[in-house]
Amino acid sequence: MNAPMKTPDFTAAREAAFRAEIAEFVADSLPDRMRRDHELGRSLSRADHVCWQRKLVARGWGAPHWPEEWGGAGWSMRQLFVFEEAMSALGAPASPAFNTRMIGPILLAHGDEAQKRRFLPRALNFDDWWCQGYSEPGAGSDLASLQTRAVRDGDHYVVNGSKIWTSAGQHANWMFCLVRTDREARAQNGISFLLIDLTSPGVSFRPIRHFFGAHVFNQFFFDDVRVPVENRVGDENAGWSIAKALLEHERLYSSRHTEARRKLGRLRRLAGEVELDGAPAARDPRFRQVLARRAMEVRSLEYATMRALERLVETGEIGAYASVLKLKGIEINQRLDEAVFDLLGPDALPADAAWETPAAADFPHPDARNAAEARYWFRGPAIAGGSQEVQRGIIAKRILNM
Amino acid sequence: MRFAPTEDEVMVEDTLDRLLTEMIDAAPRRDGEPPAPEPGALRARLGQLGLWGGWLPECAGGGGGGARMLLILARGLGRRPVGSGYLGACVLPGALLARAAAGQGAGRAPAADLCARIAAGEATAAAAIFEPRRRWAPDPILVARPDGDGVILTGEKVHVAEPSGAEAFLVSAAEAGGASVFLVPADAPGLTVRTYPAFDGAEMARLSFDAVRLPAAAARLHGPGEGAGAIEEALRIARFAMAAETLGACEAALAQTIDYQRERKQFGRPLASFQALQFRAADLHSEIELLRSVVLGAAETLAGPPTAHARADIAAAAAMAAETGDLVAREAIHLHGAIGMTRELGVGRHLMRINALTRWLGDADHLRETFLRIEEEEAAA
Repeated sequence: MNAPMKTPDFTAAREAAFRAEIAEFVADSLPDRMRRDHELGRSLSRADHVCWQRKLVARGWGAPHWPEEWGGAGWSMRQLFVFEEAMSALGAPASPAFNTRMIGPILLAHGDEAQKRRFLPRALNFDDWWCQGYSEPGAGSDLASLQTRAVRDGDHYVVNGSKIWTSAGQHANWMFCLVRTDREARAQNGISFLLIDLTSPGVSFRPIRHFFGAHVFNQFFFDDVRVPVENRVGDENAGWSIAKALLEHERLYSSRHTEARRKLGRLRRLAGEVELDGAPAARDPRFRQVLARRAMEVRSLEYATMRALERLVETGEIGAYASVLKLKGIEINQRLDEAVFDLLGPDALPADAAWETPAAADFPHPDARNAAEARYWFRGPAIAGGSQEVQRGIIAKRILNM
Repeated sequence: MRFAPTEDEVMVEDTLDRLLTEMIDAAPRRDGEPPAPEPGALRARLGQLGLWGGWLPECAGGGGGGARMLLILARGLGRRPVGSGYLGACVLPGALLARAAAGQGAGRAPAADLCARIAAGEATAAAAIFEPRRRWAPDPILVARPDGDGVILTGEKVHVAEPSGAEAFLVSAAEAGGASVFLVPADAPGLTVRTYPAFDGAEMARLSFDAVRLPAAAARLHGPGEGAGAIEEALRIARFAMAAETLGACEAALAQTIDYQRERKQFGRPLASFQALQFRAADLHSEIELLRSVVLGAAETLAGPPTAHARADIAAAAAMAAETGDLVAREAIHLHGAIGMTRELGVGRHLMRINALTRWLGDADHLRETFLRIEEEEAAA
């Protein structure tokens, strides 16, 4: 990603005014239903995401971390952080990462001018919905062993193979994809980065349901899919380094500090409502220890993320520190999910769908909705984007030189 | 005290396992779903074989197999989380009914009759003992007011498991002299049953009692002064079964995980050959051995008189099951990698079932507190 311009004078007064500006925008623009669904960790529909993103784009906030010439806001890292934190605290959903956090930065760093002009504005406005095609049935943590192959045929590649665990792929019309273009080279060296139009002949997919029932993942199949050579990003066989940079990027955002802050808000609201031994949990000495631990962890995660941003500005890269962020960000989020679930006790029993039944009329806590499913959903981030074990391996090898 | 299973017990375990395998294999295939037999058919088959109510005393129509039999069934069903409804439709109501059937009250005959049909897999009843905003408090607020020779029930119950098809609800209620338990026909006028799905897919219900009138003589299973003890005992038995079911789930989840790790290759070798993963599996195995020990120990003490020591054993087994079960099931999902998150694979069902049990019957914190109170009571005695 290009380092955004530094703005030296983001003073406390300016920050307060900026936060007020954000609050006003959210109050005017974000429908209550969407805010509520997001607060409860329920997934939003494609239409909701597109609607919200277009409101952000209209305000100039669609991808503030992009360069200004492509629709970015030209803010300092500090201001970007405040923006995200404030939006999240107000219950505003973040736009799905694939467009603005992944393919956007990739094209900005590695795309040619034609690719940028063709794809960036549409990605920003969600005219296209991108998904990621990395994992394969036989290549998960060992991503470099991927087998989907792209064979050159004139000015096209012919792609055959399968990609799996494609989150939100059912919404997507484009996939950025790692394919093998040289079967002789060492694993990492024969990989290229392709952009595939999912409406092309030969593309199909099947839904994969999460164990709690939601349609979260997909498997895509490519059967002699013809992809123009102009849709390759970077050089042939140089896709691995692009993917690796993106994975680091993914890990920066997988600190998931804004999600953690949102979950902490839910835990605090419930602490005032749920009674333990006849008094609100907020006054229960044992629960107070839990709440304090969770709140301190969120603070530390926010500072850790700010350090990463500072480092990104000063050195242009995050390095293996991203792995620490991911490892701890996941753990802190999972502990928050668990704290909510535990505090609710029996009131966490109703399924998300139960809230649509007549029985829900006197369920005690509206903030209980989706508590179990949200916790189950979050098993996934510990595996995706390089499992926790992969992160530990990176930390040991690249930071500790073990 | 004997921990290892007898030859007869091994035979029962094998019979149950074969039957489950057979019925799961014969179940209709639905895309993206692990196959499961129809619960009513499973219950009927287990009833015919004398397994479903095998744990219940003979005076209540059971096989007299007691705690060891309960352990075998709950554990075996835990290994195959097919939504059998064993705890909700047999164990918890069976415990309340069997105690009434063994007593001298007016409810003895109807309790014995219903319990025998439950044991045979022919009928179900559902216990309604929890109330809104009271977590797992066993003392009812729902009130039973005298009305001539009968009573009138007014109040709310929540988290009633296995409500559909139940021919009666066993309802705890406050009377002047203390807590009682009433047998309420499912179609009693003034009773509203609103069902909802729990997150593990099981059906639960809320019950509203709007002046439900009962002729008390036959309907009172446990009178004031006996109700509290009966509820406590039924919860104890159900929590023991919860620990046993969780133990079965842990055993199955770890076995499935290790099988998968032997097959799955990454970085050119089986996952099972990575030391970091071996250590985690070894830790899980050791945790499960402790759980297995405390559950087997509790089975032994559950068979004897309900001393403080016995009651504390059961609280310990349930509390450790709540914690170990959640850990093992989470790890089983994670150690599979992404495929562990799929509904199709089915390992996630263990986590949902284990969690649903603790939301329903008491979580680890609550059970630990129960354990300590019993121990303190014992020390003071």
